[in-house]
Amino acid sequence: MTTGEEKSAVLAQTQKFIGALKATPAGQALVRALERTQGDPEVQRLHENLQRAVDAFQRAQRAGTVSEEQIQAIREAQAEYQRHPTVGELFGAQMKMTSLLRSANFVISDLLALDFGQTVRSAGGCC
Amino acid sequence: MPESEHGVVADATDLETAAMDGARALARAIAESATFRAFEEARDTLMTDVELTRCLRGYQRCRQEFETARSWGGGDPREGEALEAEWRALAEAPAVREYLRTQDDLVVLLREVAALISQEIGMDYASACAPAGGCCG
Repeated sequence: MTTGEEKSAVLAQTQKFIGALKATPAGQALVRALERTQGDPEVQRLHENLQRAVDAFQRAQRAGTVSEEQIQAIREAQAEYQRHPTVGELFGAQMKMTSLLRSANFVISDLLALDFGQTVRSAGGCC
Repeated sequence: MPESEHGVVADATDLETAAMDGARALARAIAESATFRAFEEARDTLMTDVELTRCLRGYQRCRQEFETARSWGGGDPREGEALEAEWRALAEAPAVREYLRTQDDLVVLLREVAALISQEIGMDYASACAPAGGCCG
């Protein structure tokens, strides 16, 4: 077991790393984009629309009654959501942050001789 | 304005370098923890057992082949049972037991680190670092 003191040391370094990530242009763009999407009622509405379409599809999938209309509804809700400029900004910022996180993961994994990202993935896999 | 543009680019690179330095410092803090050192010792002990690691690799290869077959709707259930029995036998070896025990402790710590990053960044760390095309390919 990890002692409290050790854990604090590791978590303190984690906080410093997070601070450095947030200070990068990608980090700042992501923070801004998250704030804008969360504060935009139109984006929230489009997101709820998409979520409803996905829920309906999943219910139908369990019941074995998926229709072409339901698939089309998801496609449309998704396209409408993704077309919104604020959402586009968020995706762009997420892509840049992903690239940064991957580089960081490479650095960490190399030093520990284990794949950090893979190790923390939930035991049952991502599927 | 090429000069100021250059200034902005250099600044961005510096900030990214600082983030990678932060990643390195984090990895070092993890490496220095007793939790990681115990895992490392168990990993080294396991690796020096040539026969045992050979068996483990063989088991992992069979397990992977079986899982792949199963994901395509194949995979003999009897083979699955045989693999389970093989695993139980392997997991009884003290070196494997110690490796798994220390690995469990380490995973708890690493998950806490990843959860903190995910929460603060607003993105799932593990998914972001998953190989392109998802982990199920």
